[in-house]
Amino acid sequence: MALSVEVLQALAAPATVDELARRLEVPEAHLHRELERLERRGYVRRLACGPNVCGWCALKATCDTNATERWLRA
Amino acid sequence: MSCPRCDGGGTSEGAANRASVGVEPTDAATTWCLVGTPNVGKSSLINAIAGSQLQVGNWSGTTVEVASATTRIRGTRVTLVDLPGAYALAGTSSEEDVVLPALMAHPEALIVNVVDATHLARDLTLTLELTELGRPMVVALNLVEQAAERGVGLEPAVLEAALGVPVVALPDHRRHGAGRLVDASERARATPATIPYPEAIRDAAARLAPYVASRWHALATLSAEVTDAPAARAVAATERATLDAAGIDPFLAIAEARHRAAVELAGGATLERARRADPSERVDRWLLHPVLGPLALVAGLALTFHLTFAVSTPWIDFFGLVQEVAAGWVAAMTLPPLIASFLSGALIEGVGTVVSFVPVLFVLFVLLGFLENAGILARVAYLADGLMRAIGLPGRAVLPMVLSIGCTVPAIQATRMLEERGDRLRVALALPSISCSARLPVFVLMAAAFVPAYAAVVVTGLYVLGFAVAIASALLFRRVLRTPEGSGAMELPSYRWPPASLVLRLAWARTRAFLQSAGGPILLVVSVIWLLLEVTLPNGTSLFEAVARTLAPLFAPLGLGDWRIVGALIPAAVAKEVAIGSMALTFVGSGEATAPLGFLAGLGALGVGLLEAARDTLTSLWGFGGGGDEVDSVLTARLSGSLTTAGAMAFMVFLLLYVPCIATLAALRNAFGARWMAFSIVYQTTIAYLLAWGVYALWP
Repeated sequence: MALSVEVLQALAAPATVDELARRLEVPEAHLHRELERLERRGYVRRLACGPNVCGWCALKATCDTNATERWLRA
Repeated sequence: MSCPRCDGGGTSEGAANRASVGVEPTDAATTWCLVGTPNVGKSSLINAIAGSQLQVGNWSGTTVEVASATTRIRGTRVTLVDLPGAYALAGTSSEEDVVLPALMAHPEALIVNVVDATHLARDLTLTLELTELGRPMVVALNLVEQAAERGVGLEPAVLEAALGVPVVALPDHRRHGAGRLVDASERARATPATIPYPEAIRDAAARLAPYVASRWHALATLSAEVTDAPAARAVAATERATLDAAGIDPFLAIAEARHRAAVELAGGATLERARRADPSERVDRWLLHPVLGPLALVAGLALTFHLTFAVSTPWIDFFGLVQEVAAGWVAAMTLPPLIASFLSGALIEGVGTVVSFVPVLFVLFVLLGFLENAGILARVAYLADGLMRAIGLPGRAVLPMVLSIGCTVPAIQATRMLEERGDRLRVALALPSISCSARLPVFVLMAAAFVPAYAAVVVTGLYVLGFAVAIASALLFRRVLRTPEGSGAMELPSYRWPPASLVLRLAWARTRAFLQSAGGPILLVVSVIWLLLEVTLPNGTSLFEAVARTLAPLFAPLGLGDWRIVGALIPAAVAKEVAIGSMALTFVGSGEATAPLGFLAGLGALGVGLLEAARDTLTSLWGFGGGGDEVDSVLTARLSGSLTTAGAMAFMVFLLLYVPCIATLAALRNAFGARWMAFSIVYQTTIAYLLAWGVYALWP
């Protein structure tokens, strides 16, 4: 819960996990779990392309989720 | 055989102190549970108080399970429980999930909340949660000097007055801070913080209170963070419905109220000062440079092995002298031939030769301990982030790989820091390819015998090869296992200069644990080899030789025609370092006619040898390896005539990669089951054979 408010405040504009981790100085692993928890509760959503979002794509293997997948406050 | 790195049971303060791992409540007179965010320094604080050797490292996620150390403080036996780092009591990961149950398993324990002074507001949110458990508590402010460097001054007294629980600032030299913490523990009290929750939330929590253990549990049940109290669930559902109707989201309302309170508390307790330039940022500008960084990484690895060789070689020679003197003393005694043969062959030559390489391990553990605790290993992981992602692994997967340099067993345990089981399995299966400390003495011996002028280069090359095979294996397993892409890059902690006492204590604990855990198997296996060498068949050869000669044709394509070399690979499957003991027995053995030596003459020789080792160590450090950095022994001389250089290289590659040791196999079985353990045996042996064959065939 400690991170929830900070993450929600930071997601006023879309951001990747990489960007959020650097801005909040939080380990990416923790941040990713926090985002998934907030997503389950319906507070945030994923945007744009990424291996977990796209369908079939020839370039999918080159996609870096944390670098390309953007998150936004729902 | 247990692991030399995590088996840090010993302490510097006598038999009263000990460290252990587990979640059972202890029977100690007093228990302190240390709770805090990741990488805040909880384990280091426990080590400073108890003189224990819990695993520490300058990165988040060092502690992945509950560990404890016991000590005596002012006449009371105190158990210090080290909990994994957590941002909140309701965890989002398997490590965080153990924090609350561990606190509830110690209902009488004092909570010591270790707070990161550089992220005060965030850490105080956890502090506020902890106060709501209604338990006696102390707040320990850590990293105060780093906060000062960032321009943040702290006023613990203000924070103490606002929180209502003792607050102490720990200086970087934690041994002094430990005293302050002990003083504060005597003033500890349970004071739930006053957090301005909305009135509707307060009322709902009050109605839930009779069904749960504390205010925290009431709020967590209300916000559906905790759902393990059946009686409370129904009440909570009704309260949530009422709050929903009023347009209040309990999760957000509680989180925002705590966050606001924490920010206000932090604001009141801090003074903004002029920000000093962060030295970590200056260093990182160079060390994390996309071109200079990897170059510095390789140079650092080479320097680590160069120093390991330069500093430890005089002591290897000294241990060789100890063996000679001991053999001389045995020769001077009137003993039955079989006993004399066992003492001089199995014990002095076999076991003694393995032990003589302990200085190599100690120096390596000192250097690794420094790199871990200074925050440099975290940079290695950061630099490797791109490479890890290219093979579909999270950046922090490189950490178990680096830890593998010390020992594969804790590295397999450290894979728990990865989120996905598939990632954990891939990394764990790749780890046995990376050279551990047990293989290092064998490489040192072989390199000294065959390529003395390039020993450090060859050993560095073997480590690089190990990493390359591990990474290639992880990539291969990705295709085979079809695992999804993992997440979790390595974050960068600030650099910290680890106290020399900490680094030396960790190195000594690891070396001692290595000797304790490996000593038994080495003695047993070397004794069995000695026995098999003593049993003579009708054709005049020993049983061991007969077995080794039978297997030798299998290894002929690798250039390993000598039965003594093939024989060394058999017991080394148990523990890699045993290869040295086997070679010492078969190449030198007890057949040598050692001149008897008087007791005083032996002592005199040892005294002279000790002084020479000390002098050569200083020379090698001063002259940057200028001192005698070549291992000089009868064994190296005889080894050098037994194989070609190509064969020696193939032997080292095979030893690097073939079947993992017993302890590693046990760790793999425990973590992933017997099927994957069997797979590892077949996979590693196949890879080892193919690559060793390739090296032998291609070596110029």
